[in-house]
Amino acid sequence: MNPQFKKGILELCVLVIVKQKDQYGYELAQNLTEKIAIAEGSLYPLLRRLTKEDYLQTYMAKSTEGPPRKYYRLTDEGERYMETLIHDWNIFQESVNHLIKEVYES
Amino acid sequence: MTHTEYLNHLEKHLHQLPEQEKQEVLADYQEHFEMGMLEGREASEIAKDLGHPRDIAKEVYLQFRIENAETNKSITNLSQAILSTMSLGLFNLIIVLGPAIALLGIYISLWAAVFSLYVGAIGVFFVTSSSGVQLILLQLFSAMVLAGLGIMLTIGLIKLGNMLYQLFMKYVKWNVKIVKGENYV
Repeated sequence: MNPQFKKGILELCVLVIVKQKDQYGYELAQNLTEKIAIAEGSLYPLLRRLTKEDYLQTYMAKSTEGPPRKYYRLTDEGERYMETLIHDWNIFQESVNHLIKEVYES
Repeated sequence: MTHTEYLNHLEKHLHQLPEQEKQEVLADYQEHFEMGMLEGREASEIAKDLGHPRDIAKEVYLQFRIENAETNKSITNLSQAILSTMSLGLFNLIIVLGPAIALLGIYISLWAAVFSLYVGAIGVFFVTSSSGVQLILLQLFSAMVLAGLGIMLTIGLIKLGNMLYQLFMKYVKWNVKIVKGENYV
């Protein structure tokens, strides 16, 4: 898949996954790569950007094992942003599907 | 590549980043390795999934430059503002000042003309004349004509004054805009 295209969708996926449950970077990377093949390294710059744009918030929390982890939480603003992204995505994928269907049926 | 090797590579690639920013980025990857190894994964395997440190650094730099575009813009803006102020000052002095003074001069002399019309009207009216009703009527009539012209011109000049004032304010605002560097927005 085209890397630029993937990047945009990655943003949406991250927001959706974090909305479901606060999670730390590694966990998020695992959850993502289960579904989409990405270089996990590109996830952290994305998380930093989303945090700087106030779509995500971070906090440190201890866990039963190992050192404290940096958790990510979706903000209200992030949720609104996610809604618009989902909306855009739905419209986009519908029109693409429509286009493909037209070509294949003609 | 081991855990420390990977982070060292990444640190090298990030050498242009401010120290604090760099440490924050490195901490994220450090945590990532720790969590992965806690799950019993090999460091080399984690490193492979992360991708090349060079690619990560590229991404981090790209983002850092975008974030700092605003700050840098204000620095360029400042030098741009100084330059524009200087060139604008010269432009104002040479090209705008002359016509502006000429315009102001014409405007003031028009007021002087109006003033003289009023003086004329009063003068004509009060010039004592011994001879005849006809002449007094003529005087009255001339005074009224002069006063009427004066009033009409006064109204016109006030309007013209407003227009000139607005023009001047527009010009000032345009100057400010150019100095602020907003002229292309």
